[in-house]
Amino acid sequence: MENIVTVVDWLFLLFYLCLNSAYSFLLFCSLIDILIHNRRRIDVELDHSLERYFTTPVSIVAPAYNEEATIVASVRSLLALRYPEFEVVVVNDGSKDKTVEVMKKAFELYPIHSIFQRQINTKEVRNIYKSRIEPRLTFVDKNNGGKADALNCGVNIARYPLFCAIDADTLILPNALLKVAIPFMEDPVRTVASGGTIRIANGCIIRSGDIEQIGFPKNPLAAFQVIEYLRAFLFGRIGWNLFGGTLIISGAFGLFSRHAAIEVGGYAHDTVGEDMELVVRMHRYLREKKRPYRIVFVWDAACYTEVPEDLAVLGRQRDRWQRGLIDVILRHRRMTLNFRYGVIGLMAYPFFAIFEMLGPIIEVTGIVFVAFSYVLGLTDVTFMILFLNVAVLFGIMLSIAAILLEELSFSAYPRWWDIFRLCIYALLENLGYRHLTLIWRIKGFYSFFRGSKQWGTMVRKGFGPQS
Amino acid sequence: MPNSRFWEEPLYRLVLQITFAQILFLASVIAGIILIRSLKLYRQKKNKRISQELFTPLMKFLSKESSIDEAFRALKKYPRHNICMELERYALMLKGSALADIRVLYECLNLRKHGKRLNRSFFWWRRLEGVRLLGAAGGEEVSGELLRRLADSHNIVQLAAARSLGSIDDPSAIEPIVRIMAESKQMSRRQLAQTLIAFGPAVQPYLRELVRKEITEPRDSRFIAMILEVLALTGDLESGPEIRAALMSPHLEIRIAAFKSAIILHLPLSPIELKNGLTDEQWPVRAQAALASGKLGDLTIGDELGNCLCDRSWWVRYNAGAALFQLGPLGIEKLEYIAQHAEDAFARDMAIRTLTSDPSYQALADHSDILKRLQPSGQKPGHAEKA
Repeated sequence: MENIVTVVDWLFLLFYLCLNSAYSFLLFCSLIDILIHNRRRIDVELDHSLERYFTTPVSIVAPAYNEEATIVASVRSLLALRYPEFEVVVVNDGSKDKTVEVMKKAFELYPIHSIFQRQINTKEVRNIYKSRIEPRLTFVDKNNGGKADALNCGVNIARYPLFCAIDADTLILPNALLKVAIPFMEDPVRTVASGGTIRIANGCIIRSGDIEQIGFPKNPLAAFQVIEYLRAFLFGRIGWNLFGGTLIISGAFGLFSRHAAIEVGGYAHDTVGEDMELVVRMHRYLREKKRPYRIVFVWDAACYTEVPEDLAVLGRQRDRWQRGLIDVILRHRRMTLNFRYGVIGLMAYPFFAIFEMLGPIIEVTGIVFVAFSYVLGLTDVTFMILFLNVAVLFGIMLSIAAILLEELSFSAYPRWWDIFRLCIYALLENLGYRHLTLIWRIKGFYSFFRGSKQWGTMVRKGFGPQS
Repeated sequence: MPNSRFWEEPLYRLVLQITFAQILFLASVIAGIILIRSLKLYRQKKNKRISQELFTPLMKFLSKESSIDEAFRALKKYPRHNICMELERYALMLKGSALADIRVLYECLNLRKHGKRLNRSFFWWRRLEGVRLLGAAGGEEVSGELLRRLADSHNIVQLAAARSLGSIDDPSAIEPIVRIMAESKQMSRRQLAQTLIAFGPAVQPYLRELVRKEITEPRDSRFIAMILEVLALTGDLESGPEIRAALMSPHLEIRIAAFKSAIILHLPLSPIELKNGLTDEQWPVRAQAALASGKLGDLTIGDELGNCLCDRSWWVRYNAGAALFQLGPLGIEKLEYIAQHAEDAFARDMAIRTLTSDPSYQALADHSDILKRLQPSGQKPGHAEKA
């Protein structure tokens, strides 16, 4: 019995070791990439040459569902972006609140005849509006069909060869669209998608859709999410990007070739992880067609979004993310360890399947198992300390290292006090918060196999005069 | 059972050592964060202070309140890096005699030599600084150095060199830049094209000649298409014959670029040229020709535009509708007729969409009456490409 327990204990330890080692490797790759990138003075290059005639025009597609609190500020911020030629297509997905009225009033909308290029099937469009004061704005009012349906509708209506999918509550930094479009201008034939970094707007001072001052959130739950997002974007995605293994381009800010998105059939309606699913489907389709392509993550193109400050809402969000992940992994499972899909099939997919999808179950079982075996006297102190080292202290190291990457890259938080709080939250994140998210993700498993397709509601404070 | 004297075990000691190593790592990363932040803040403060201190002597010098010697004495006590940054900022903003004065300062402070030294660096980012410095410093002797940098192994240095050559207006750089552009990837081409546009009319004769030579059998049709657009963006009104020849090119990209260039230059295209474009076998050319028809044509091509409203491609129909609207009252009348009487449902729908898209049209009472009478095709809103 004791031998079996010891073997199982060591297996759990090995899992944690592999997980954190893999993250450390990604972190190391990200560090190198950030250091090299910092030398490029990319902003100077942008200022000099990208703001003029030869940039590819972009349609920004923003689906909106019950966004009356934030929609006007978000659209204003989108219209203020620095980009030579773009349009904004806001798709109201059958909101039950006053989204349509608020938009009509703020932008003096008038209806036009609803004719558009239907290349992807969507729910019925009720009306298409243009604005009397802002010719670059198109507002689409359609029946409710979910986020993917709204995005597909926006893709149909978009006029330009590139479309930028964003959430209606996202605030994009003025230069970010230009930066995220660079891969398309560098290699217009092969590039099919690129995505930027998502940062947290809670705690920032926002006026008229502009971020006036970046601040650290006061709410502890939002503060924990800052650390999470830093880890996810600053080393998870940068690291994978170096190997061409980008599997997720966040729905909050991603730029796609319209032609490529239509060719693969647009966003899938029957999943809650439509953003990841589209990217994975693009990988799969283009690899199967043996067409050269690239999907790129541009870390210094940043946008800000509001995150939940309430346990129930956050729990629902994590539940949904996990369901989306499981769905995508299972849907495209034939890519796993398949040579035909290169880095994606051999590295990224197994990593996501084992560490991201199954990770929560293995991690929680491991913690419970080791804790019980210690209490029952089946495991010694030495192993327990080693386990805590690998499972907790290693995690803290990674979180703190993510703050180092933040300092080397964005260095967005201006005050010393913010850095201090970041470090404290990085420490605390691994002493409870992370485990709470694991439980929500396990709940996501349960919901997935029960067949839940719920999105859950997000309570927003809105980007008022001062949020 | 677990060993009760676990602290004597070698494994326990090892685990403790690992723990200490981890804590040490954590402490060093935190120290690293503090160090990086402190250094950044220190540099920011220092640069800001120096920038403020440099402002007064530079302003005095530029407004002729102080001599070059006084300016030199005031500036030389500051780090060269800061002076270069500040002067570059001014050089980018200023023109004419003020820019010439700044360039005198570069000479006095011996910064051109410094730029040349940077250009020989092994590290590309230092070479980049070098070419930017030389671009801001200007002067005849820097051209050769910058031309050599056009062949730099690093793409960003190449582009910066081209831009610097553009900023010092050295026409001898045009030919090498075009040569590099022909061999570059698409992104670099765009940036080099911007540089060529910065040269203005000086590039026109060479580019016209290039287009003339290559229009029938181009080495790279995308490259020639871009050159055509550059010509138009420099406002070359003499490039009409080249653009007209390009309209007949067998290459799709060149035909599209020719219509785009004609729009930029407001080149009056003949109805036959527009009709040829509107009936081109490739839909992107038809779409571009429809755009050009709205901007450059007249009602003699009204029927062809009307036919384009029945085109298989959405974009051709869309642009043709917009073009008819742009042609004025008679074009609008034609759209109204199509909207009410056309047999083709796609044409009818697009005509209605075009008419309803314009707020001023909706505002006019006569027209709003017509709009009320218009009956959409009865299809589901929005439809795909025609089969």
